[in-house]
Amino acid sequence: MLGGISQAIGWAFLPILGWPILHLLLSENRKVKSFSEALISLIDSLIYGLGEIAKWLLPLLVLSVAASVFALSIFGVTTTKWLESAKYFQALIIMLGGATTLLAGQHVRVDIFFSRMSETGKARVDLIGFYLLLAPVCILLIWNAQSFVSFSWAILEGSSEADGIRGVYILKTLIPVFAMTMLAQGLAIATRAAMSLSGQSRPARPRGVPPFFQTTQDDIL
Amino acid sequence: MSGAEILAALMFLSVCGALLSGYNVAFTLAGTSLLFAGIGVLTGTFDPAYLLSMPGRIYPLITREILIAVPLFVFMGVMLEKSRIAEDLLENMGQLFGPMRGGLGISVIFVGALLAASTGIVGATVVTMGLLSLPTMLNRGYAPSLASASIAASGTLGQIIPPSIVLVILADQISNAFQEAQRSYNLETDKIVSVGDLFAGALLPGLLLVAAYALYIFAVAVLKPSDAPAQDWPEGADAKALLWGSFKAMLPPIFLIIAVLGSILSGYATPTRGAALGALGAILLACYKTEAQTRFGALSRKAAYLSAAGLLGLVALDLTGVDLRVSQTDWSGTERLAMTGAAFLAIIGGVGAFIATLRLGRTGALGEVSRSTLHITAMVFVILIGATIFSLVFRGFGGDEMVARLLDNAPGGPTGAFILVMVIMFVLGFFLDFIEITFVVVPLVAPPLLATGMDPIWLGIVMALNLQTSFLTPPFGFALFYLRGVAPPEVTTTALYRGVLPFIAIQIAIIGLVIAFPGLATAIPESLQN
Repeated sequence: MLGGISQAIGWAFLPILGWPILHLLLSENRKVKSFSEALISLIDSLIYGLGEIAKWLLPLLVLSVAASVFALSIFGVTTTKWLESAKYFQALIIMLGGATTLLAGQHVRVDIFFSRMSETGKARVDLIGFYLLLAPVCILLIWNAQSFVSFSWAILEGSSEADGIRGVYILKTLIPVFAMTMLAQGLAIATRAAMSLSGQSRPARPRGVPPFFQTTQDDIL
Repeated sequence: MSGAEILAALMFLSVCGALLSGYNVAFTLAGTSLLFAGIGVLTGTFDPAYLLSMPGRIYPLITREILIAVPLFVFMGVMLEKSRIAEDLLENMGQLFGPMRGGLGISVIFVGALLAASTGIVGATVVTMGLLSLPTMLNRGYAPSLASASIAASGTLGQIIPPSIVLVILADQISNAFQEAQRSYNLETDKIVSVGDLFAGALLPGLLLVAAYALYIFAVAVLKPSDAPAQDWPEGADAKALLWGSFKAMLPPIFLIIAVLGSILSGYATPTRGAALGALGAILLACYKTEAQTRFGALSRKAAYLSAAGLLGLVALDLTGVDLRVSQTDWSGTERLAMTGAAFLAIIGGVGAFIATLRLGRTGALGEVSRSTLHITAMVFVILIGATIFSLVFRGFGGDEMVARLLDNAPGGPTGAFILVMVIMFVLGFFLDFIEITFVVVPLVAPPLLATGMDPIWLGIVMALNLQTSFLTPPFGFALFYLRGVAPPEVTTTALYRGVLPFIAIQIAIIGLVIAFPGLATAIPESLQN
């Protein structure tokens, strides 16, 4: 039942993936332009907000694991749930952080040539890459995850340990959630690229998406 | 070659080509593979059932216990980076050793090595050191080629000096490959490879590299003083104060690295737990080093200090061998006393750590560090996911058997296969990062190599050294790109390229040494295991 509903929602949203192409075709239309802007800023701020929440899992992970080290190796106190919680933190961090990393442009690119491309060239790579590479992978992942996840939900799959956390089905659900958020952020980036290719100025990124470490060569060259 | 194998080979080449377009690496790996899987399904050379197992392959990756060390080590590194330890250290050491010939250059190598060991992220080390020390070195008359190259070179040390995240990732892959070799090739051995083994194995080669770099700068300073001139003693500076300043700046990071490495190598903690301790230490250190402007700030600095002391006291108490397990029933008098003390120390440690974390949360540092860590962690794991989909399709085409056959038939037997793999990795290092190469190439080539009886730790260390050299080699070396980005215009690209050549020679010499004397990589891990 739940699966059927989410499948229907998925199909309903599928056509929107074609929006960047529609924008390219109808870029002069004012309504098209303002819808693109609204779409980008909606997705950007949702994904950015998700990342800003997910990042606080990191200090929690540090404190929880560090505390468990002292508790276990000195006082001999531990519980399976405590030890297993690190896995949950880890999976949540990776799967919820993927899209915000895409937004921040922190996924590694090979930029020997990319860094020397013009704005148009870069926009073309982003647009073609979305349709040829990112979208197919995410859609296939969502499709394949259906039976994987629904089976886990059907038995409310828990830990293999008797006293572990009974939430493996939630962890497994993170895989399609990851694919959906990546797909959404990819769509926003592709729409940006389409605006750039139509010679329009693109909406600004949300505040505070600073390049930090993985400064791509693109940023510094 | 069968049709499927031709597609596998074409797929590998297409992925390499597609990567050059500059679209993000993870989805280029996965997406190109899927396109080929589609062609395979249409031509009847690929079984679509392989694709169904995608989620089942991804799930273990995101919950693998050993890889939890990755975000923890990254967190520790980013936190230390933000706490401006390198700045303090470089300033003090530069002034102290500046009057010595080549002293500033050698200080840069040491600070670079220390920073590398604590952050383990090449780009970060090169960029920080480049911004920090390159202008100083140029101002004081160092030749641009020597100054820029020594920074690029010491930045790449971050991969080889433990605890580095690339060694964690490499150990995970090598260990899987080793099990694969035992399964598929009936390799008989009772050995297993752990992250600790690779850390221990990298210790000696890493330190040798640091020593060789320093020696080279010293030699230049003696033979050609104009390239690495000595400075005048800074006016009004007090040698004792500078020495004390350097010592004070150096002590916390060195202590933290030794504590983390020591706990992992001695088996006291798993790499993941050691990394968590390191990250907690970095939080305390960062809080202590943040100037206090409010009363809460002043209080939190004391809390961080006390927390560190309390936790260390707790470990010291535990190391005395007194039994502190709360589950025991036969409490002796000393144990009761020790338990009271331990509870007291634990409360101080815990409350202090909590206050320190809260303070960093308030200053905004914690949020920034967490965000960067989130980005780097997601980046690493999304590449891992992409590489897994690539491997899945590649295997579906029988590509792994093809690679194994290729290596079996390599001219010169196992040695020839080994050289072939090293050359391929070196070339791939020109345009792919350590992480991608480790995730894509190691699972394919390592099982057949290990099946010939090669030592897995030794193989891992040579691979790591090889890639490190690749990142330093013009014209594509990653470290050079990073440095080029932050270097002032008077450092020409040609000067940088000329400057790194001696460092590449040093790298090749050390690789030669490790190949000639495998004990350099294997002796420490073996002695720790016994």
